[in-house]
Amino acid sequence: MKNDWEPKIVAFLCHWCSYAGADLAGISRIQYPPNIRVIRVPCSGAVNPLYILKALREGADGVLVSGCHPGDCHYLSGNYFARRKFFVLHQLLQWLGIEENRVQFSWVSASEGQKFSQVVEETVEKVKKLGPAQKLVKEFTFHV
Amino acid sequence: MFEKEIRRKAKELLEAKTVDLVIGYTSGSLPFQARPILVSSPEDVGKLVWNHFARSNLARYLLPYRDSSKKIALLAKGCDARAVAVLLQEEQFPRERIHIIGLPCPGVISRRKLEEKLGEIKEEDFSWEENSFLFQGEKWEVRPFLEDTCARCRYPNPPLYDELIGEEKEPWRDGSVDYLKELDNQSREERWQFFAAELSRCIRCYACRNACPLCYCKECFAESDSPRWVNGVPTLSDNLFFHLGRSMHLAGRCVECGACERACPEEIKIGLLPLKVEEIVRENFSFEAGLSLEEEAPLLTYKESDPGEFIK
Amino acid sequence: MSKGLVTKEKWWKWLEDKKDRLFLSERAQKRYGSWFPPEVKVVKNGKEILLPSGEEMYRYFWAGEEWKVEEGEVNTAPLFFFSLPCEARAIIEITDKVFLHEPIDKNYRQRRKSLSLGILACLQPEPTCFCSLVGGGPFWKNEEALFLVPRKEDIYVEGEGELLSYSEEGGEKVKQEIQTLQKEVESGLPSPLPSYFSQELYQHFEDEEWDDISWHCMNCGACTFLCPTCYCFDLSIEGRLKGFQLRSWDSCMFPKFTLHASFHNPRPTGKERVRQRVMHKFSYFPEREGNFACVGCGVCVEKCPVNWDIREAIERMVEKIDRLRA
Repeated sequence: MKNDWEPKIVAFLCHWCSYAGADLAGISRIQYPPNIRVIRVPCSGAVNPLYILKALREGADGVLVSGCHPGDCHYLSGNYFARRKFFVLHQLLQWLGIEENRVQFSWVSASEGQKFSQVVEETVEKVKKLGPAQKLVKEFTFHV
Repeated sequence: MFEKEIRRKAKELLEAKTVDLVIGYTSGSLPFQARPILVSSPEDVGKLVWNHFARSNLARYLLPYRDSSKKIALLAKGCDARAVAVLLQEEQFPRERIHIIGLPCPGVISRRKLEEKLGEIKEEDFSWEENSFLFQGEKWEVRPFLEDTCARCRYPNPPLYDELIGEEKEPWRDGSVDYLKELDNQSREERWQFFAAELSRCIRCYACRNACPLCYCKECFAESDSPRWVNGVPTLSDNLFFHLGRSMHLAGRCVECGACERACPEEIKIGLLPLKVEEIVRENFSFEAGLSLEEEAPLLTYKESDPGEFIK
Repeated sequence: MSKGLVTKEKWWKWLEDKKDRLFLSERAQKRYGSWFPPEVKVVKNGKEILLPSGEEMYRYFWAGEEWKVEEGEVNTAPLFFFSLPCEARAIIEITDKVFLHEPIDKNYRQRRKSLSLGILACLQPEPTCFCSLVGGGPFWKNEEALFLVPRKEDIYVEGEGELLSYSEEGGEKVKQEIQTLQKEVESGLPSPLPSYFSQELYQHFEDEEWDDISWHCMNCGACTFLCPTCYCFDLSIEGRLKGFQLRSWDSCMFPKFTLHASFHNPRPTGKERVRQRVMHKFSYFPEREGNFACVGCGVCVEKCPVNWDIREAIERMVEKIDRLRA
């Protein structure tokens, strides 16, 4: 692993909370590492486990999924459904031997700019410790 | 093993026109095989057999008749009946068009295990009982020879049936023979090595998916072009993607029949992934698929007290 | 073409400098594994070498103003592939005819050029075997390939090339022994399909039997992927601004194999797809090329998860055709 390696992390942020939280972090000029690539989704409940696997397959070193706090979902219960789904996926991936911190989850509300920055920092740090992802990355990769 | 009763019942149902078709097992072209068969006339009921080699889950053969008006009698082992229950619950088939003939299942025997322990085998050397068999005059217990997926079976008796042939079996609740547990005892890295080795042998013929009674999507994500999740080359990463994706789709729906694993032409232990998912769901959301028609599927509902420690 | 006997010592001497270039089919390994060094690469069949389940046809990238394309590389080091007669026949009589006739497949041709074939006589046909039904046999040979009959202490060899210079004249006695052995193995095998079969089969395209024949097939791709003669493939792109054109196996058992862009599917159910597999192997291909596109190795019968048996389908159609002819 090269020392200057920086992980690429795909972040699925829900439109109503975490995305707004990220926005607030930006407006408030709170610094956070530039390693995340944000994909805005309507709700954390809309994140299909396949999205997460696909991100890893396409070469992301980590995945962060973030939504509204339980009870605060814009659609009332989307994040509760998401929690069950992610719980199963999380347990399965761990059992299979995928590093625990490759895929991380968080609740960040629209008013938590500070927390968003913290979450990203922690996420990046944990993924950095793991090094580049290898286990689910597609085998045909192109190097020019 | 209740073959006579099965034939008699099938004949009765067909003659009385209670059903139009009977789906069951018949003997195959190779020894130690029972293949699915469709019986539509009372004269053909003699073709039906019932033995230790019924490795398919017959519920999968129901779905082509979803949009017909045929009434179907289905021979159902514990797991087949559970699969039917899930199909009914998911409104994939109307209850009134299916007649379930429940069969307490003696378990499916693995030909490979027979060969490993007994050497070269011929069909005529065996005489079969429910829980034991005679091989060249010597008596053997059935359980050590069962397929891995069946040796851990907890529901040999159909939870749902219109009539039951044979006597309810005492299920093994001891969990003493469970290949999933054996894997649980390994380290994470060992498990990864195991799956990497197993799944790199996968040729993605999709026999597992097609054998599964609950993999009924019209277009499977693995073959979808837009979006395209994986390509057609059976590389380890894409094989993993397919099996992980399939297991997640079966979360809270898998009925532990293991038909996927028994269908695999490469004898890969692919049943382990959906079985693990089933176990996670059972332990955390106390739900088992296909046991009741009322209880809501675990991923279609939630509780405020669900585990959430893994979320920051 | 010459014939002779190669002793065990000389056989191993001949193999000495070929160890890292040796391929052996899985089924040949079961029978003759001890005749090959542990370094030998065991493959399912010749398809794995000539038509791998995944290959890079070309790579491309967007170079700012235009697309750059580089062709994929094919390994052209000489290789030796030893297999049973049926598996060799799949290459010589089926896939060669498809990929070496116009339009020629470049990758296949390059791989094929560097591949020398060795045919190991099949002395124990399995219950699933039916090579003699489709024009092959346990002693099938071809002038371009070495033909070998491993015996207790030596190997009987027919063919050309370096190995023959290691051989000794066996004489009339050996010739007799091989002939007796061949007769022994071939006795009891089914006789070839009638010559009119491929033509007449097509007349039964619309028959009701296909419903019944295909009913229990689950339409997975196990038979086609494991078949040494099934050569259908799919092309896909992996990547966006840079990536690959990939070639992977495809199967006529899959609904998407014939799905049109309009979503019309000319083979919408299992019946049409099963019929296609049988028709292609036993009618279309033989009408075009003169031999069945099935070598009777029986792998599809052995590996089928629901015991769908192509021999039964053929038997049924033969019976019907003969009944109508009589």
